[in-house]
Amino acid sequence: MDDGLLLNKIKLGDKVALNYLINLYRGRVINTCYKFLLDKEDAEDVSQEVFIEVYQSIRSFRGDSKLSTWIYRIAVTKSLDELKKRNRKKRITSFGKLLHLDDLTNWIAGGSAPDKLLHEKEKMKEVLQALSSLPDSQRIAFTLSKVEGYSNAEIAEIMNTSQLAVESLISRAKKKTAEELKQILKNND
Amino acid sequence: MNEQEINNLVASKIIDFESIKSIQPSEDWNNKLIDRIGTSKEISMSSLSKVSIAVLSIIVMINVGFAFNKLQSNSSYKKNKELQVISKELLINEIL
Repeated sequence: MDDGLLLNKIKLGDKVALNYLINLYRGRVINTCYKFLLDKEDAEDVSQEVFIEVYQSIRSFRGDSKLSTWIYRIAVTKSLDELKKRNRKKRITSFGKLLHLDDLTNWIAGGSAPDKLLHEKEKMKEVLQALSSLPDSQRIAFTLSKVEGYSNAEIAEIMNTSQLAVESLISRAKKKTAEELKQILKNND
Repeated sequence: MNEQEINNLVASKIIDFESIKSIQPSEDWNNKLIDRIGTSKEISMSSLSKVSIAVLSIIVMINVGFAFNKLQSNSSYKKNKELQVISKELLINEIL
């Protein structure tokens, strides 16, 4: 279905068209979020937020970019927001640990909380940590280049930049990630 | 760990990240999304009406404040004028 037609139908409240749009972009949106967050539950949650945002602001979408580019851009922004939220939470948790709030919460809950499943996030925590040191532009370009199906041209469109810039961002990101990772692993050793 | 081992580990971690397999959404992903879209619509409608009520009450309060202030300043202005007239009359009487 043509983007314009699809948009018009959704704007008119056509639920079938909305479902079509969701099914069309669902896979790539979830996997984009997943590559940023490395946690399936979080990726599913954030990808739903992406479609809620798409639904709520579809009337204001003027069609300056392709519909897909707009949707993937929202996915990237939401994922980065979630990462920032996580960092804030982490800071609060480490403060809580200092005050032994964990013990208090467990005591209030009436026992110890069940251990969380070992997600990809846990296995990749050093990589995530290294990636968090990158500027947003490098992180976005590098991460998207590792999501199945994104070409450099498409990443350039999403980031509103040139393909050459994307290539340079990716190579700088790779170099910096390796350096950071090395440092992290040395410190952990 | 020596330098070579760390380099190898870095390379393998990056390869691991690059080769993370795609995931498939859970079975109830679609249903949850439809529910959330419905709820967000209701919330946005109710929050919109709450916001408009709040804005309206602020406007009304500001207007009432202005009106009260105006009334007060008018009455004090009148009082001042009267006092001025009286004091002038008194002064004139004293001179006379």
